[in-house]
Amino acid sequence: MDKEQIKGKVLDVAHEVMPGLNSDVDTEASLTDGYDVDSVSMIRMLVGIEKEFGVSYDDSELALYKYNNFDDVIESVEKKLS
Amino acid sequence: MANEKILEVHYPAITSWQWHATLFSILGDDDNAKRWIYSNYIQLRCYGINEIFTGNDMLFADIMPGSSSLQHCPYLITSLMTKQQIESYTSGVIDFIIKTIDLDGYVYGVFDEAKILCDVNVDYKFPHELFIYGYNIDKEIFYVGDFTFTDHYSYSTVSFADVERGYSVITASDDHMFKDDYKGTRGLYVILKNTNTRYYDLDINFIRDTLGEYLECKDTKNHLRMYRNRFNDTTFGVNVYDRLIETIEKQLSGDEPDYDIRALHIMYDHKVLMYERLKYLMGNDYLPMDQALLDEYLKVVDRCLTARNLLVRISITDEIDRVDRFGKYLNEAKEIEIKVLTKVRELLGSYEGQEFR
Repeated sequence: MDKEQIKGKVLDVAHEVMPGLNSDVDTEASLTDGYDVDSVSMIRMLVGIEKEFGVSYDDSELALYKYNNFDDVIESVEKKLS
Repeated sequence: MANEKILEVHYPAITSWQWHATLFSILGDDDNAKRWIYSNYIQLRCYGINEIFTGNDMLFADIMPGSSSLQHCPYLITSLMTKQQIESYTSGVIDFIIKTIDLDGYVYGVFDEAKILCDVNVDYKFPHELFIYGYNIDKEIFYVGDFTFTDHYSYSTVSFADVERGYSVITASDDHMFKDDYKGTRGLYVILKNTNTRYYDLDINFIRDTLGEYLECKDTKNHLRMYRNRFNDTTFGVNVYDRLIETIEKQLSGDEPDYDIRALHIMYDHKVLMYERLKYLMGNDYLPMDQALLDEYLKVVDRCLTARNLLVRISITDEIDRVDRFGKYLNEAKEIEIKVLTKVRELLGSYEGQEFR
């Protein structure tokens, strides 16, 4: 799976978890300031990604502060898939 | 009277309970207030209560001075206004709140937030504290801080009409805030920021002694009887870790698991504040700079955050079989915290440069 496909699926999960998210997501924008992502929605998104990609996140990887933007989330999936 | 007035607020460093979020929203990063905050907010305690909305068993954990902080912090001037006073002084609660804000006063009190959240009439109440810091007369809205409107503490707006409705139905028995102050009536707090003069210096002796009480799990309420205290069933200090593990295992073992994260959240906030305290003490030469010690304490913060996030995860996935991990994370946090704070306490014992007013 290439990076664009991963990005597309991650954003699909994000939209599912946060229905208010606009369609034109800036993956470099801050998750908290730009999209009001909180710790609960972050964990919902990571659980959704686990199901979508068949990967798993350690408990310590669930912390919101570990991801500045959607690019960091996409990169975490890439690493788990490689 | 201006058309709009919004008093200064800062997103709070700790948000676990509404009273802490309110105090930190008002005081923000103020240097004078920090001296009081870092001298206090050390001891941790918990006890069992019946949750006010559901009646379910709940472990209530908090950092002392708990909800007494709004009245005891020297950098706030807090007045308790009864409903009778509010009605006598002004034409009603909306007028009262606007006039208070015009005088730079924040308003804090219990409102029925079911009236605020629901468009239709509901036959139940949801009494909860609302923090009001601004108004706009044209839009007929108040600017408020609360947990109720999103999954986390946030600043939002509520209409005058909803505030009026939410206020009018609350009785003395619904007003848990005034009840906790042992007042058999209901009302609102008016809170003024009072940070211009330095009233309270960092109290190194008090910090050292309270760290001792935290590490030795002493019953701190004996010398803090002016604060709201429960007089039985209270666990203090690092023993809160053990009670928390026991409670979570019980919460998740029933037929209908209870995913209440509030005790874990206050635990995490306690560590965040302790970490900031250590940085402050080192940055202001009360402790020698020791990055290794800070890094070690950061592990405590991380373990507590991981435990909290794990419960959020389990609430989404129902993976109850992960319950044994709480003991691992919290016991690790406890062990590291005892080591770090024991060293900090010893170092503070040899500090001799303090000058108290």
